Amino acid sequence: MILFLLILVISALVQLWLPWWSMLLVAALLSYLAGKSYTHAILSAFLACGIVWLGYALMISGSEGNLMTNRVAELLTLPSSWLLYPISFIFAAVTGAIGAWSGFAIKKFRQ
Amino acid sequence: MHWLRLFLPLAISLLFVYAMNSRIGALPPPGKFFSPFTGFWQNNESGVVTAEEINITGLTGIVKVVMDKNLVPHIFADNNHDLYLAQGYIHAKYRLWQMEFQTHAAAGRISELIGERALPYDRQQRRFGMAFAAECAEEAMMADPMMKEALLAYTAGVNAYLAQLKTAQLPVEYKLLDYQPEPWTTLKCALLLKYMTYELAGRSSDLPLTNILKTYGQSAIDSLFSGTPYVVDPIIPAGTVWDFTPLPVPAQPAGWISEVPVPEDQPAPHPDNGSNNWAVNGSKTASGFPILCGDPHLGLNLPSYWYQMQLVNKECNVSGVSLPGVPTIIIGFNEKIAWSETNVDADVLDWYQVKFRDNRFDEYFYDNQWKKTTKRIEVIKVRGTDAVMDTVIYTHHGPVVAQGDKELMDDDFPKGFAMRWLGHDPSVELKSFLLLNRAGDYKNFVEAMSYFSCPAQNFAYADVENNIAIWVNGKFPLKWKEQGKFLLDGSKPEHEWQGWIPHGHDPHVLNPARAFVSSANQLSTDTTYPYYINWSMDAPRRGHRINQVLEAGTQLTAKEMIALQFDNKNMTADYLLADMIKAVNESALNPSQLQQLQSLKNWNRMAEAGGTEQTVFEAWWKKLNNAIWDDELGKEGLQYPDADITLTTVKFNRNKSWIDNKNTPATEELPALIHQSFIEAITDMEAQYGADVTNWQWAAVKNTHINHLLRIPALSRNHVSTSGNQGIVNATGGGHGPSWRMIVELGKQVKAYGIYPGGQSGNPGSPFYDNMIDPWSKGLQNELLILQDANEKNAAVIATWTLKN
Repeated sequence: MILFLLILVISALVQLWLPWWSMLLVAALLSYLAGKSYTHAILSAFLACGIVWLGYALMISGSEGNLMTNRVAELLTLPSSWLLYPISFIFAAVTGAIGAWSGFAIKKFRQ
Repeated sequence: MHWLRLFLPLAISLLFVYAMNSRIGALPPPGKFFSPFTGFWQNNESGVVTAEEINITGLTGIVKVVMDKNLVPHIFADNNHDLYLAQGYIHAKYRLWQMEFQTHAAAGRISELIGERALPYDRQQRRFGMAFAAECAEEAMMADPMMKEALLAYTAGVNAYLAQLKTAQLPVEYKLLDYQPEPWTTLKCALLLKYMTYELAGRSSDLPLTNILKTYGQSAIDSLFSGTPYVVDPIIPAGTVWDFTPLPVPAQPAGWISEVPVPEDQPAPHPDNGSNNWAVNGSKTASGFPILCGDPHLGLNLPSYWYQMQLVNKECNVSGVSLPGVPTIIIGFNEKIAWSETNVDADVLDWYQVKFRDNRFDEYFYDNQWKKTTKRIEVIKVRGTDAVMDTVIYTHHGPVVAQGDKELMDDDFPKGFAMRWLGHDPSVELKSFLLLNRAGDYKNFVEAMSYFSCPAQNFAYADVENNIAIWVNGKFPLKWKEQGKFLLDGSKPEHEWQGWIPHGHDPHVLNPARAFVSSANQLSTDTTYPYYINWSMDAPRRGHRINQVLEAGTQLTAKEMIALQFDNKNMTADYLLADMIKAVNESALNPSQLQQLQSLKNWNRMAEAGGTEQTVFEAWWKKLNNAIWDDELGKEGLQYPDADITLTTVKFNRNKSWIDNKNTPATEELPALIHQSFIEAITDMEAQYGADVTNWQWAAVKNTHINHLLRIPALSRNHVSTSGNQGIVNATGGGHGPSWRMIVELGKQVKAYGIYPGGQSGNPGSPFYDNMIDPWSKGLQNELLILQDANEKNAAVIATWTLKN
């Protein structure tokens, strides 16, 4: 739970300044420092990173609306613009998971 | 195994980041694009505008930007520098991507953004000398202190916005194509002006006409390609006495016809480019003050060409539309005067046959000696691959566009010919707009006009002193009659342009007896005008209709004028429908054909969105045109005569040898062609849209669409249901039409109305991206907010921004 929260907060903060892949580094670093097992690290990062993106996307949609989201869904020929939310969630979640996997693998290697 | 457990995840991490940070085919890098921190999510916009304080380096005082409910900014500044700096800043804030993309397009730099497939387009822009033209214009503009100040301040404003722009806030098109904006320059302002010049004065029919001359002889030219309108209703009223002593016109040299075998491709003069404007003086209005109206017709794009603004400082208080990328208001009004432009279509682009000494193109023959060419090396950067070099050969006439070796986008340029184009000459149209924005009377207006050279425009003018005027205005070469109608000989000095028509001799009229002025791209003058401007201009169908309505009008108000801009009377049908119906043999029709003919008999000749008669008439008219001309003039490299000639041919049953179909042994007569065309039109309609005529509604068949500049359907509007068509006052066709409609009622307190098919924001994620399309499609207009003071209380104001250093 602590790892999950740490990744959630820190990955959200760094992405305000750094590119999207900074969350991969955050997940790796924190998994290295606080990961208990592969499952624990990967699952924490998967959920934390996914929720950061999903949450922020929902926040924007709440305050600014969905006009661009709808157009992008049409551009990508998606049947519904709501699919962009799970797509963004999965994308960030996978990014975080790969990072956590790498971070925890380094930890294991050094033990 | 131990090592693999380490390296597998690390390798996957690296690969994943690399792959997801790169474009996948035409798709943007998914990592950047889907991120709510930087990607498309950030371009969602609620449209709520709140008061802001913005620091901008370079401002000398405080600038107030008052935003109204249509997102129109009203800029109040102390001086010209601050005014144009703020204008540049606001243009960039709302239209950055469009301004940069259009200047990239002008300069032939699209391959940089989208790769090799834009090379034929870019190469053509380079060969056309677009950057060369912009450089000449920039130099001329920067030599004048007034223009220099405006351009430098405007450029600083755009760059101030760029300096503040965060990645997350980049317009979505940058994210889609994955590139970054570059700093704005004064050259880009010039490029944008040349982009418009090319749109409006970058075409000629010299090549197809030469082909027709060679194929069918002088008699074909005389009967089909000479400027005799079906209805004579010139812009400057017939009989106007010229207030100048004309210069002698150069003598026409002995006949010379280019021997180059030319037929290549169907040429592409844009038949839809047209516009309307008019002004009525107080004797015809309810208020006793003039009303001026204008609606320029252009390709319908998103974001729109135009951006509405009010610009106020101690020198001016001017409202109307601006072109993002250029300082000033281009069509508009201030407290004293109003103006609007339509295109003249002057013949200012001619082709010269050039004889080169050898295939190194170093020298060419001119005036009995060999003259050196200059060469300009163009480097076209191409995304994803090496840059392409192209050498453009310049003679003293201008660049050789088609060298015959490499692929250009259009294939209708005479090969090996040099292009003489007025757009290449140094010019200062910006000065005209700076002066117009500040003009207070007719004298100021005429002075402003004297700086405007290309693309020549019909400027309608009205002022609060009850003067109305129209100038067919531009720099016109002093030509012999019809010089440059055909290809010219580049080795003979007497084939060149011989000088210029003095500005005071441009066709114009002040306060004509009929109490109104108007233009709709038709012939400028009657035959007494001593100079040659072009052999053909648009058929006066729109002009004729406008003049009929204005002639009859009394006690006119904005309401009637708004209706006239949305007038859908099909004048072609008005002229010919009765004759065409008479030629149909009703006993040979089947019941559905008979029913359609019956509807046409009862038709009020209005091209309404929901009607089917316009659809049927249009199909019939097209069939008839093809039936008359296709056998002789449908071949590649030739062209049909203007609509005028077809009107005359059908109305008076002239040109019988052309009516006959050369591909059949029989001799066809006009009534038979009309009858047959009708049956074919109905048959085609039934095949394409089905037997149920409710599917034949004009708006559905016409399908007005407003495409995003990148032609991405998700960013475009398709199926806009609206009336009108080309050749009709409401000239809304499929992808072309009134790009801005404006009505100005002058008076003690000026009142104005306007609308354009788009919205003030260039962001497709904003409700202000396309919010004016629906009211525009119904012919509605917004009352324009005109503020006297930044602190003025008005219900239409939604927020005020303070800009300061």
